[in-house]
Amino acid sequence: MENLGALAILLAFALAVYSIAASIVGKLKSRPYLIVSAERAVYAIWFLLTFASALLVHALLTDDFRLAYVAGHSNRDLPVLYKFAAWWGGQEGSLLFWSWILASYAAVVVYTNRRRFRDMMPYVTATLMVTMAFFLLLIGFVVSPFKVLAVGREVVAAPDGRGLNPLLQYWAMALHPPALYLGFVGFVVPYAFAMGSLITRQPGDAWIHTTRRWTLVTWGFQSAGILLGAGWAYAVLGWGGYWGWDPVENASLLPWLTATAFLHSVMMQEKKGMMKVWNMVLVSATFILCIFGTFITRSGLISSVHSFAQSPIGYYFAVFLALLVAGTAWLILDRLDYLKSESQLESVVSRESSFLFNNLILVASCFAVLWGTLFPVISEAFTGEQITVGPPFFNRVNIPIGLFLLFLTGVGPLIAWRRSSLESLRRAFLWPVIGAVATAILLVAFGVRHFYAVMCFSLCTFVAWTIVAEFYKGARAIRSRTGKNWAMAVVELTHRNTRRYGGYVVHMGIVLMFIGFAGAAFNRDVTEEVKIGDSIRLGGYELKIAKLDQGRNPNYSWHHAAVEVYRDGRKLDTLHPERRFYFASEQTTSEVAIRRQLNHDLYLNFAGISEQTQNAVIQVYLFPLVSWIWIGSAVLFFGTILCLIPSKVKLQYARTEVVGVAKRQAPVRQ
Amino acid sequence: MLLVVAALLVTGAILFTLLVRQKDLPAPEPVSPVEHLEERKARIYDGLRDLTFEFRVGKLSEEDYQRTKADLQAELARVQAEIEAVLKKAPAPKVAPPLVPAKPEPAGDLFHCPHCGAAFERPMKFCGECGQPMRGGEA
Amino acid sequence: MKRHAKFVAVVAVIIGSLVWLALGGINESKTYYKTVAELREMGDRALEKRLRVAGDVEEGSIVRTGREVRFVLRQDDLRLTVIYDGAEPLPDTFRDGAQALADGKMGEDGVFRASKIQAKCASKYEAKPGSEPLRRISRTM
Repeated sequence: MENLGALAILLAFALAVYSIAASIVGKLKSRPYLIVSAERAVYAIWFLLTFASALLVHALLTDDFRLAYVAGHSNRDLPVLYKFAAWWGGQEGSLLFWSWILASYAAVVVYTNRRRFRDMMPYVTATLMVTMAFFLLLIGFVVSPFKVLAVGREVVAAPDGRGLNPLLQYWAMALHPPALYLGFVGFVVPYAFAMGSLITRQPGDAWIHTTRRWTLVTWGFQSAGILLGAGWAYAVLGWGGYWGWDPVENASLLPWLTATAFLHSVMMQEKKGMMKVWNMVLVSATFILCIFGTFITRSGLISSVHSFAQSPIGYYFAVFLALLVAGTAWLILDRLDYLKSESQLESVVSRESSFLFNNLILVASCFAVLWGTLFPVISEAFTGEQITVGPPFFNRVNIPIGLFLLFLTGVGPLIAWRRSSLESLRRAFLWPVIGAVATAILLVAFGVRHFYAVMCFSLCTFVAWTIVAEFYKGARAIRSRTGKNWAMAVVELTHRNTRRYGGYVVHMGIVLMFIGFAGAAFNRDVTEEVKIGDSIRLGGYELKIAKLDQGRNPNYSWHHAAVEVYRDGRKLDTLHPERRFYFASEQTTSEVAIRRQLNHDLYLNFAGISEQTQNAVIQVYLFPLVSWIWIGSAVLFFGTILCLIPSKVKLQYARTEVVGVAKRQAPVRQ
Repeated sequence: MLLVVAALLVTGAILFTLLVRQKDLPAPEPVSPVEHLEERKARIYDGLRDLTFEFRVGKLSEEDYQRTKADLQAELARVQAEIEAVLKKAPAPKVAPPLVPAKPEPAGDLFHCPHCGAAFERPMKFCGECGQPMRGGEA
Repeated sequence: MKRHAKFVAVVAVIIGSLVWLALGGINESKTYYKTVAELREMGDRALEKRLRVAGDVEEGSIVRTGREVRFVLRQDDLRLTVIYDGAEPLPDTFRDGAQALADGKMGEDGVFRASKIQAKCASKYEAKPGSEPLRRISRTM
């Protein structure tokens, strides 16, 4: 069994190498057979990796503890869902999972483009397969998922596995890695097309149009991965935070920032043929940062609370990264003439320039996060001392950046392409600005003094207003013409240009999330030692400890509290925070109790038992507005899906007609 | 048993990869030498349509609208000229009959809105895009 | 030309203010990463700086007194007493034998006062390469 798995991986590696060679040679010597054969290899690799993955999942589900991987990441009592999730739970398995996703993406790309882009497809295939070969090299020769446990030359089975870390046994954590991987790996496709078109000097922006949907889907997966991770941290880790600027979290944020920048700046290339070099750089940077993120997480380069164990694969990653950066940079520099811009900026006050600033800011933020993450490495290289920078650094830089971005989110859609005169600006901005100022005045009048929070709320008003106004104005225009009711008019409006209005919905999600982020400025907490009958007061709540007990089962021992929540003398709820100690992993976990509400979350953590008094230590947190982050995430995904629905009004042009094309177009009125 | 499966896996993968017959070669979709220019043109039309819509909902001043429209039209003319130049250089590009019709093409000419340039397959009284009357503007 | 100048000016202002913020942020939060041994070598220089010390938590050394937690960080045979009284609860992964990172300042009495503790749990506990697999499994079971 395990031999078959290892064989499949080795075979896939050989095929990947063959595919690279065959597609390049086939292209250079114009041998269509070779090119098709290289594409066949892609399908074969997909089949082989599916086979290998099936073997591994089978081993996990049937508790085959002869395999080191199964013994290390699963145990008999683990629920089936988590046994399956153990496929991506550890180093080796997750690399196999990563390769499998890559193979699936590659197969889809090759299949859907089997008739199209014959000119650049060989290079696209080759680029995909270079990445593929790299990952197969890792799981084939360095960290094989099919290693068996052995004493001497004898294969032995462990009696039981070491299980999955109890902290990771949470639904969002089972989904977080696949979502993130789908997002990380997916960016190889736009990158491969970019490289393909660069190498063959394709006229036009075909690579952008073909990969637009890929980009959006992978961006959606990246966002989902990051947000699921945040949701997990909030609900499981017991300190109520959702983001801690940990290197591993940063590693997932970096490509997301450049991908977001790319999604915006691509529009400039589509509309006006500008920013070609920049888009190349962004798409390459995103892909390279995806690989870099994997590298940081797995190489132990930077110490982090959730990095994988240190392993030799760091060096392989470093070499691969260096080759990628060098190759891409050389290619772009060599083809600069091909990437010349077709038009230029008309005015500083225009949609284009708002995109430029958006890009500048996103990339600046990416750079700041990268700098902060790598600071220990950089400082050690220059001063010999490892210096780390903490959350204050990241917050100080990224909060203003976030607010400025929020501002641009509101401004961008209102400024017209090319130019906007003062008159247009006045029309578009008068009411939203009044709304924003009014919000700020109201907040200050009610005693809110936190500068960034006031800024954030008033900007949120501003942006939300502009978005609603966009929908309202558009729907009004459709209504007046078709007589549809408001709801249908909005649907019609969105359907006409799903990318645009879906994009607005995504922006709305971001606004809601910012409301949630701003709430963090007003967090409150109290920690108290309590016994039965005591009560804790926080923010108008009175929390009575009704019950404290403890017990044990075969899996873990626990302390448990029943806390009654009162407000104004009325009983609202009973919460049950718990603390567990798992025997298998010798680890304590907190099962926090959260009362989620739209205005704030009441968050109880059973922190432990005081050793002197044997009283329970309970932490009570009040997190204002946190729920809006999760609501905003939902809106964001809804918007992303809207963007993916094909627009009703398509770009119309004669794709296959060549002769007489010119006649078909309307006369241009000069 | 193990060996059989292993042998099958290896030979299967190699045969599948290497045995490419003549009929397996895909017939590539015909590519027009001006495809990217056509696309560019379509985008400019799109931009014009968008502009008209924004003007109509009141987001633009008259002056901005006119200037940007003139810009777009000038660009359109440039692209058009480029298309003609390319076609002149390669007057009869080999266009293989498409195996699968990529898109159902309308039988007759398209009808274009004189105001925003949107194209329609059947004649209409008003443009479905910008709502301006289409009469007299047929190409 | 004028258009470009305007644009460059705006960009320069943005970049400038970001750099200023970043430099402030670095100064405010820079922390020297030291092992227990390196901390000893630093001597008095250790007193002014914000430090992050890494080591293993000595078995049985964790003592909780109300909100205060006292424990000993060990590196080979060097020991450092740490007192933690921060607001955040200690991470679940913090326990005897865990690898821990303590952020804080060195007191003049030679006791390290931590404001934040991180414990290295890693997404997975994997033994260092080279160790014998079977023993490693039986140990953790």
